[in-house]
Amino acid sequence: MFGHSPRLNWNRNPDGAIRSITEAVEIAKARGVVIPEYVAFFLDELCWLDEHTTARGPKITKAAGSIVVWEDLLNRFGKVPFIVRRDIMESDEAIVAVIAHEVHELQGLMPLLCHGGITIEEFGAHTSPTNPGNLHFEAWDVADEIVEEMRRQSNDS
Amino acid sequence: MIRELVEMYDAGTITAHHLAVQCVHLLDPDEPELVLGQLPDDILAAIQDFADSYDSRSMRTNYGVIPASDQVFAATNWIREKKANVASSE
Repeated sequence: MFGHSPRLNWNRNPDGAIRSITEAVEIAKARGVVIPEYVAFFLDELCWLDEHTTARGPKITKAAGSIVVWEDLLNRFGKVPFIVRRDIMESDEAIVAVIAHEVHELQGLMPLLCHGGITIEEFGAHTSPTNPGNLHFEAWDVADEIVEEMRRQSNDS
Repeated sequence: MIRELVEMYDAGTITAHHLAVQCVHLLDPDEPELVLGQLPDDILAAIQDFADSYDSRSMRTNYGVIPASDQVFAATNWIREKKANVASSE
């Protein structure tokens, strides 16, 4: 069974444009996604992500019951790195949805991780694609809303 | 493979913890040098931190593989021997 994913099917760019990761971040910003300074996006150069995984944040591996804190997510530049699957770059809708999803999920986690942290089990529960009603599900709903707004604006113009 | 992972760490694509766990998973317990010998000191320190908190009965991860206990044990021993060699040469 595969977990919750966006309700909408993303359209490829009609002109066939494939964006760079820098362009992708700018496109998301232009569509109203507020990307904090402490987040960084990278392309999945080594093809780590499978067809069911559009992007992925830092890997966390700890003993059961251990506490996850904000610092656990940071790269050497003090940013939270996300790897984005390469084919996402073929669709501006996908770009906006995936970036909005990851940012929303992270912003939900941030206050928990910055104020004492949460157990690795709780961290997993918040981000699991098979736990209805969690941050991961909520973040896809937010992503869908933004893509719907993109389509409304496109139809109006 | 290890060089690519270190480059990803240098670029900020992955965290020190991610690189450390990935490298321990990739090492052969009989020849840990092949992997660990390619790593900078800060990543060896991250591996030591991971090993210190490792509990073979109950590790959890948000995705991917978890290193086996013999890999963690081999890494700890290799790092300890390296430190001892550095200390004795000073």
